[in-house]
Amino acid sequence: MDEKKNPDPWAIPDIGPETDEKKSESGADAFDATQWHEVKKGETLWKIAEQYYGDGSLYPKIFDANRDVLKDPNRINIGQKLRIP
Amino acid sequence: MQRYVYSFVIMILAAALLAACGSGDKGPAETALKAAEEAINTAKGEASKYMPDQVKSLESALASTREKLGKGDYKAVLSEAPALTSKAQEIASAAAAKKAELTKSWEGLSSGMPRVVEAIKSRVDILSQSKKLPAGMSAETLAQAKAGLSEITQQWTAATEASKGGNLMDAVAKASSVKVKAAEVLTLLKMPVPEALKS
Repeated sequence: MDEKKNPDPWAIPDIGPETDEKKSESGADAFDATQWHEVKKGETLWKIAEQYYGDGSLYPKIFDANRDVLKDPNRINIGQKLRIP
Repeated sequence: MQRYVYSFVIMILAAALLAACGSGDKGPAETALKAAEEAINTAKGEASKYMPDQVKSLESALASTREKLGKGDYKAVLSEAPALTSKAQEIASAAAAKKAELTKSWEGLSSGMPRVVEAIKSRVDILSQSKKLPAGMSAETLAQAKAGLSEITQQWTAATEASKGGNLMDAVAKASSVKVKAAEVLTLLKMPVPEALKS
């Protein structure tokens, strides 16, 4: 009998491949949607806010999201990685 | 004449013997069918939720075997009932495995997706306050992202409700559609799509 043409009605369905949810167990957070920006020469929070939001005046949003690494919104360092909320 | 009488008696005896043998199978056939019914009833609880098609096939096969018992086809019952019992046990094990798999999937989704939704909401809120949208993003794109966020929020609430109601299949299915929509919205917003949302 050709099993492909006449599948067993009792066949136990394949539970499927390893899911993405499982990947999160291996360490890296598979659901992390954080956007990061690495500060380049000549950049300011205003410019970064313009790049991501179109409006430089929204720079406090970036500053607030990075208070753990930024003490002063006017002082950011080249190579610093900032969260973009 | 006497020869014919002997033949007739022999035929009668043979028929009686066959009938006796057949009725001797009745008890074991009933016991085997009862065992199959019990195994199927035990399996049905969880299996109906996670593999309804298999349960339906099993029940239909049980009905057919029960019909054979009614017709006195005990040999067929004795041959089919044990197979039904073992199939019921197999389906019960598979349903338990499926439930464990879905539970794991839901645990991952329920801990991860709210953070993704929060990231989208945060960006949509900020862009809504912006006087000018970033390069490459139109007002229409932002409107699409807002509509997507609304859909995601509704679907996520429905997934959570399904999980609370014990319907893990539905919860995971709804959460999976949230994943797909969230990936679309993140792309619209030019945000990175997390690994878990890429498949």
